[in-house]
Amino acid sequence: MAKLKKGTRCSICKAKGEKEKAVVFLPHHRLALCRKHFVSWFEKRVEKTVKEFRMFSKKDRILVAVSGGKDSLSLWNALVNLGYQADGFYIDLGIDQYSQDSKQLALSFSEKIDRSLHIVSLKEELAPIPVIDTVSNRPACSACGTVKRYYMNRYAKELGYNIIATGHNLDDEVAVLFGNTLHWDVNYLKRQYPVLEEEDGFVRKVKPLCKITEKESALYAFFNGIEYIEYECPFSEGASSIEYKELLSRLEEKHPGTKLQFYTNFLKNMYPILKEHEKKEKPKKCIICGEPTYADICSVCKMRERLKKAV
Amino acid sequence: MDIEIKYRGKKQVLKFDKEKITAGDILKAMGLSPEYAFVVKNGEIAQEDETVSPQDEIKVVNAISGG
Repeated sequence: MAKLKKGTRCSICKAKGEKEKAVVFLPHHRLALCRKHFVSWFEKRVEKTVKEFRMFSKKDRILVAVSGGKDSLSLWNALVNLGYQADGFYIDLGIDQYSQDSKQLALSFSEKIDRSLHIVSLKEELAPIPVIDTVSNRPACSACGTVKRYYMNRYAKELGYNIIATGHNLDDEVAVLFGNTLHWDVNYLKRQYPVLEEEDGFVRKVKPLCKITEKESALYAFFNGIEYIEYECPFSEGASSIEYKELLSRLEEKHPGTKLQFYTNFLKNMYPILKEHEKKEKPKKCIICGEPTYADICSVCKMRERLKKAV
Repeated sequence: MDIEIKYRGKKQVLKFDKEKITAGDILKAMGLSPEYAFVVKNGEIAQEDETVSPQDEIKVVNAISGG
């Protein structure tokens, strides 16, 4: 990221004839901002994204998938500040100290902003991630994603929320897009949109931070005094997404705006073509739990079967 | 010069051969890019060319997370 020169004034303050010093430089937006204007810039950008993709309105009941990390807590904070009805949903994954710490941070934050936090324990629902990992033949993050999506969707319906918002940021989306493009994984590419519409048992899922970089999200958390889990989940070590992110950041350093362009041009130019050729398959109901699935038995029920066999 | 920093919830000490250390030197020593990481000095964001001393309370934030 290009450096902020000493004594640079905030671009917005300067336009208003004020003299506040800039503390953040966003080369891809050609903006140098003070603390106050960075926070308002961030929230405006989130609101613009919500409106651009018609994610939800002030009438909707939103459930934010909260992990205790910077992205989900920043998202929750921004949505509440923007006047949306947003509560939190935390899944205790049963990953030792990591889950204990992140749960505590999520709880403290919900008290601070005075919004409800719904908590579900994976140990009680199915099995903790370290146990699931022993019976799964996929990477831990992949199995974890499956169970999180399942319980999030199920509880959103039970608790009466019509929107699920996740904290996926631009770097997450770009890393996934890069990986899926490297493998030409068309089936994943055609689902990579910041809104997944509601249908037959699936609640609408949205990603309001899809145009916010990971660093912008960490800065927003910092400026708002949001305490979040700073260390990595022990199961995510060596995840390919981290490698992709580092690689892409080197490109971004030399050519600011590369990540945003890669993502937004995909949405504008490539996504509509992929969507056109999509054969729409309707979800069925899992014959065991009744939740929506494209197979006869959903992935979580299959996992439960494997867990039973392993005991 | 030794600089004590806090990184991802843990304290660690960085050793430098020179006396004038900047926030940018800290990121470099940790192998982090300012593209996704930043330094907090005494509770405020430190720009890359800002000097730091052993008396300062230093925290390094790496925004990259996986999963």
